[in-house]
Formats: sequence, C-alpha cells, structure tokens
Amino acid sequence: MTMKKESANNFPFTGYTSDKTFVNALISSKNNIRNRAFNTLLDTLHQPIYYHLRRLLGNHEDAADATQNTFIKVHTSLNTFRFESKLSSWIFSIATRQGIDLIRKRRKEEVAFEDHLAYLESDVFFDGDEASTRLHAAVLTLPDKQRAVFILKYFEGQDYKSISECTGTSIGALKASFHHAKEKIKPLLILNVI
Amino acid sequence: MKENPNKVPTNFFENQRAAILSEVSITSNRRTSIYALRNVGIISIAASLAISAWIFSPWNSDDGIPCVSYSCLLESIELNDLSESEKLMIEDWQEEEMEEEFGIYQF
Repeated sequence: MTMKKESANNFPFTGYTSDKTFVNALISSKNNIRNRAFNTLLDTLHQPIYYHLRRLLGNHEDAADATQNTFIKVHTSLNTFRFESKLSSWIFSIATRQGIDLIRKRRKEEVAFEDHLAYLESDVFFDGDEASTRLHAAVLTLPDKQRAVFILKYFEGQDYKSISECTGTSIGALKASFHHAKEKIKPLLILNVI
Repeated sequence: MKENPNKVPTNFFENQRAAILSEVSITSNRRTSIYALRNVGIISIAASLAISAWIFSPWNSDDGIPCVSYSCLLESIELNDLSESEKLMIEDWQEEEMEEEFGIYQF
C-alpha cells in the first residue's frame, strides 16, 4: 500500500499547499472546513497507517484499534505539532508509538517464530504465499523498535530521514538497526529451517 | 514496494472512517463548548474587576479631585447625611478626645 499520489506541488494532502494551511484547516472551529480537511487526511493516510500497524502488530483487530486511536490522538494533539518535521512523519510517529505501546501491553512473554507462522497461516485476513508468510512471521519476532524500523524501510519504502523524524532516532542508529533486523530475519526465511 | 498479503473485512475502511469522523466531530464540538464557557468566565471576571476598580477608585469623587488620604476620606463624609443622634454622638466623641488630650498635658 502506498501513499496517495502526491500533487503537482509535491504536497501529499490534495487541495492544500503546505502543512501549515492543512493543520489550520484540521483545527478550524468551522465544521465544514475541519471535516473536509479530515476527510483529506483519511484519504491520504488511513490505509498506509493501518497497514503499517498491521505489519507491526500482526493481526487485524489490534491494527484496527491502534489505527482508530492514532487518528483520534492526531486530532486531539494537533495543537502540539511544531512543524519541525513533515506532518505525515509526525502522524506515523504517533501510529508507531501506539503500536509499540500495544505490543508491550499485550506481550507477556516471547512468542516463537513457529507460533507467529501458525497464527498467520490460520488468519482469514492474511493471504500470503509461503515466502511472504514466513517473512511476516519473522518480522514479528523482532524487538518492537527494530520491527518498526524494518517495516518503515522495507515494506513502506520510507527514506532514513523520514524514519528518523518518525522514530526520533539518528540515521546512523537506524542503518545499524535495519542491518541487525535483516541478519535476524534471513535464517528464518530459509524454508528448511523448521 | 512489496505485495501486501494483509486483507481486511468488507467495508472496513469505510466503517472506520465514519467512526473516526464521528469521534472527531464530537471532540471538536465539546472543545468549542469548553472554549465558549471559558470565554464567558474570563469576561465575567474582567467585568467584575473593572466595576470594583471604578467603585473603589480615589478618582471617583464628586469634585473630580482624587481622594487618596484618610483625612480626605473623612472630610468627604457629608455631615448633612447624618441623623441628629449621630451628629450628637460625634460631638461627644470630639469632646472626650479634647478632655483626654488636655488630661495628658496636665500630667
């Protein structure tokens, strides 16, 4: 899933020219202006945020909850947005935090790769071939922050600068994290491991 | 970009969009009400302060001269506004004060 095609001025939110004008519309006291802006926000980021959380959390129910919480949180926290990063990066950072919080709340003990694999194979909302299922199960074995970095880089194709804005981590640390994640995943993708 | 094997229930995004927009609308209206109440409170306090300042202002005198000392305030009391008994009582006090003062000097 990719973000909606960017407009001619390279701004992702169609009908708006900058983060400033878009945020002003999102916090407008006029219902029609605010609703139009929020619809545009959902047109652009609803699916990318959901699929980001789905890969992070590994199941539909948790991803759906975290997605809804993310957009409510965005709405209630917009007045704290300081325009120090792109609005979309800021929203992804809220989503990632929501996801990591949920992982920590739900996970009482380490879940093995084989259990993730068995869960995905029986999930009616997961339709991947064997290689894809093994990859998604392997990602779920990564530590939460490393998992978020791997998903943002590998599945969502974000550049290190955007991921750095999203996670608040230096680019050097992100490169190291992505490298370690790949090294952990590689052996699990070989079909005869289990 | 890799192929996405994650699927969602039918109409999931439409239903969730409606739920999010509804929640956003409720939160916004609640926030607008709180701001309105807060503004009413601020205006009430400001009005009270302004009225108090006007009532107790030393510039609020009939002759337009600011009255900023205790003696000035005493002088501003209109004797005509007092009843006969009050006038007599004040005269008694003044006489007592004179006697006490005289007594002190006698010692």
